[in-house]
Amino acid sequence: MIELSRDITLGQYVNNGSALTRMDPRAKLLCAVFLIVLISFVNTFIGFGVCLFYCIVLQRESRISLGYALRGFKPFLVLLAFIYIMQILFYVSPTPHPKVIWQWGLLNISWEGIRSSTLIMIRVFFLYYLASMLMFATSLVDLTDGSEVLLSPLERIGLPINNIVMVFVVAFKFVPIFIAEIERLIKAQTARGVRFDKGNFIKRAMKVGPLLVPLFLSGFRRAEALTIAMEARCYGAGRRGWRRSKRREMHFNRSDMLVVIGTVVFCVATFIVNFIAPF
Amino acid sequence: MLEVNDVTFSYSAHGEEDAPPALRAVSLKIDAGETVAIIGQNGSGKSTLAKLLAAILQPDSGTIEVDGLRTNAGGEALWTIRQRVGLVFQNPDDQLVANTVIDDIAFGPENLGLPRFEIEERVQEAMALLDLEPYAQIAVNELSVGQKQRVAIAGVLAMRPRYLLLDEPTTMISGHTARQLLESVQHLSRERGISVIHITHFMHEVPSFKRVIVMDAGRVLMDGTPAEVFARADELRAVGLDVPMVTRLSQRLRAQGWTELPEVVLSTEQLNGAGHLQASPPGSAGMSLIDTSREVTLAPAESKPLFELRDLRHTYLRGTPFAVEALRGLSLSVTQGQTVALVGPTKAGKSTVVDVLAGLIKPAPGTFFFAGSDVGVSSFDIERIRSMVGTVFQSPEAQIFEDTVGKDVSFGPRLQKVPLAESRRLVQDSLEAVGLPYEDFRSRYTYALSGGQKRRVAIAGVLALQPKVIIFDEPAAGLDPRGRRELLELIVRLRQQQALTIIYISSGLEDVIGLADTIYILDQGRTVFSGTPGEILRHASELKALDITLPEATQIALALRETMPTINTGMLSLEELEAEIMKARVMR
Repeated sequence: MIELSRDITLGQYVNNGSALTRMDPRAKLLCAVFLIVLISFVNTFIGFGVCLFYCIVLQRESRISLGYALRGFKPFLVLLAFIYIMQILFYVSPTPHPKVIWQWGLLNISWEGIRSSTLIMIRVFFLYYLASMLMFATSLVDLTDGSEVLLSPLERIGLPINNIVMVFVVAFKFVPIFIAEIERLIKAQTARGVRFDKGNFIKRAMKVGPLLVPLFLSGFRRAEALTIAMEARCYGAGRRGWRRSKRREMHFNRSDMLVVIGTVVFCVATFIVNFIAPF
Repeated sequence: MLEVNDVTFSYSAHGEEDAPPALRAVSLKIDAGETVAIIGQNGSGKSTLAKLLAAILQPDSGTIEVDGLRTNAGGEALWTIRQRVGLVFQNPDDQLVANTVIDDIAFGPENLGLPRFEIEERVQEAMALLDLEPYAQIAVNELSVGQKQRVAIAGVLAMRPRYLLLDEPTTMISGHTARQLLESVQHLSRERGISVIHITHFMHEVPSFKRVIVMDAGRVLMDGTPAEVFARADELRAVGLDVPMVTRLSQRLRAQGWTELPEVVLSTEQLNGAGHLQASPPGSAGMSLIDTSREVTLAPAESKPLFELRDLRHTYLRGTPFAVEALRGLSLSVTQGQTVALVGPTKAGKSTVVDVLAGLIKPAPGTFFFAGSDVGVSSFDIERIRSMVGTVFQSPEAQIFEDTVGKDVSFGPRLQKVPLAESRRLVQDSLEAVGLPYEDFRSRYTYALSGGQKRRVAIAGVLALQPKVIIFDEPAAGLDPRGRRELLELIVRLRQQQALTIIYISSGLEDVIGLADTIYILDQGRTVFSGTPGEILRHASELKALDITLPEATQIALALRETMPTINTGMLSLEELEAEIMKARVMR
């Protein structure tokens, strides 16, 4: 039977007490932002090679098994492979005379196309890895507290950061609940004669459709119950002049500072390497 | 003081069409520090009243005042009321917001905008009151339902409320844990002078409260002390409620000429006490504790078991940091035509067993034989199990997929491409088998059904697949006494009419003791012991240690041992218990 929660790892917090989990969330978020900006700019294989070095250090510090860290990537592989092939076939070169290996109408394969598509796939992979590492090593409260502080300057222009962050907290709270709900519905429908494990890919996908209505109904019911519970505990979004206080205090200490500075230095260095790299 | 003056409320004014008024001209007063139990069948308006008192809903007419503040005054008064009236719901998953225990408890005080040191102080205090300190940093989703419910109560207590409203908080937790929870709440009330208003379906929880309010069809039917209310047993039964078994028993004993007993007995202490029952002469104390003469109907030994599980293991989330070993060496066997009960506390592996027996997961390693063939070999078609076994899951909502009753019941037959006429006949037969007239129900909307009706529709949907075995996964959870009784009667009737093999999953023994041929007690994914109902009851102390609720009759008999050492605790029904007590009395 399908065990969704085994494969969907995104957003899961692994509290294993590693150095990474103990870091200040603001430091982690800042590092993640710098790295994501870096990854978006890197466009050479050597540049990504240097990034891989950073990820190896990250992986060691996280004390999470590599298999688990990459498992969540598996469901996307088919889709990414499809996109990869399409990108190569429909590649339009910016230079007027690309080296074409094979051509048939609009479709063509060129070395340039393969190179650029491969780089895009590597980039997607790195972005996925960084985002999931951030989630694995940061609890939801840390994540929200951290982003609330980092985003607080935006409150000056009138954005209700406090409320926006709470929306994300609640949304994330529902992820495991939704997954459990889907598993339950699949079981209930299997018990009534639906066969999720039979038929080809398309047939299986068709069977998922009828799950959505009961899923959303129960989602709405739960959301309503949660709203009532939050209101009963004096959560007053939209109430004038209302402001929540915080029990938790964050400590940005020297090691956090060092990690942030180290990451910035690394990013700058990689950027330079990428700039002068021959391929 | 909570003051409800002539309040009427209807959901039809709030988006739900044609809903009858949930409350009709209700007036009542609850003083600060009072402990009140509110009882009433499903849909009697109890939860609506709780939401009105907490200013979540506003009355259509009439007024509600909390310490003189009107709930519909708006502005700051609303927030003062919500802070003073704490509300705890049935399902803790619907009310916990943050992901660790300590952060969730802090959610309320943070909303009040309190300074950090005060939040910390209140959170620590609330955790201490509910013994949650060791769990402070634990993620909420790793807790058991009972623990989650404690977190929910602590979160409300951190607001320092004057009134604590508990809306069926014990529905999802079992015997001992529920009792502990209520004890801590009563303790709080005494220590802090907090008024506790407890909404419940369980009559045995009521006697520990000073006052009982009985609701029916949106009205207050009775209001008095437990003794006053339970003296009106017939009226209670007429509205789908009941009196605790010890009260019923004492009434019968009084009718048998046992006039020393007070008119309404609320506890076994009362029955035991006042020197009515003196110790029997020494020497007879060593008598058998169990009535071995009771006949047990067992399936013939030579018939081959339908299910044969030996030393079965199963791990969820294998290969992740969250791997859970749900089954660790479970063994059981079920013969055709038998009624088997699987009973165990939370995390005993009950729901995993359901999945295994229903053919929804293939466990490994271990042996699993279905009708004599090995399920483990790759040539075994799991479809064989699925086509013979029907499952009624815990919450009927999860099992109803269509908008009308007829469509939902025909869901299975349609998938099997059964011809239309045949499918129609199946739907009709199934609906009638569960006591829902076909013409009357087939075009009704499923969402508008009551909890008991939804369960019946779910059962009909399974029957329409013509299974040989039906698994019931805690089917009676959340039902009021009448709904529970009717459901059990239905299962007995189905078993007889359709010659079904029944597997009943439960966290307590009350429902299954009179129903099952064999009971398996599970804990931590293993079979602890098994036997006939009579044999199982012999292990009373082990069952208690496992947090498995004993049948009320057994609980009473156990408590009576103090003054009647010869009493047999293996009784299954009120009548047997009564006869046993009369016998013990004669012996005196």
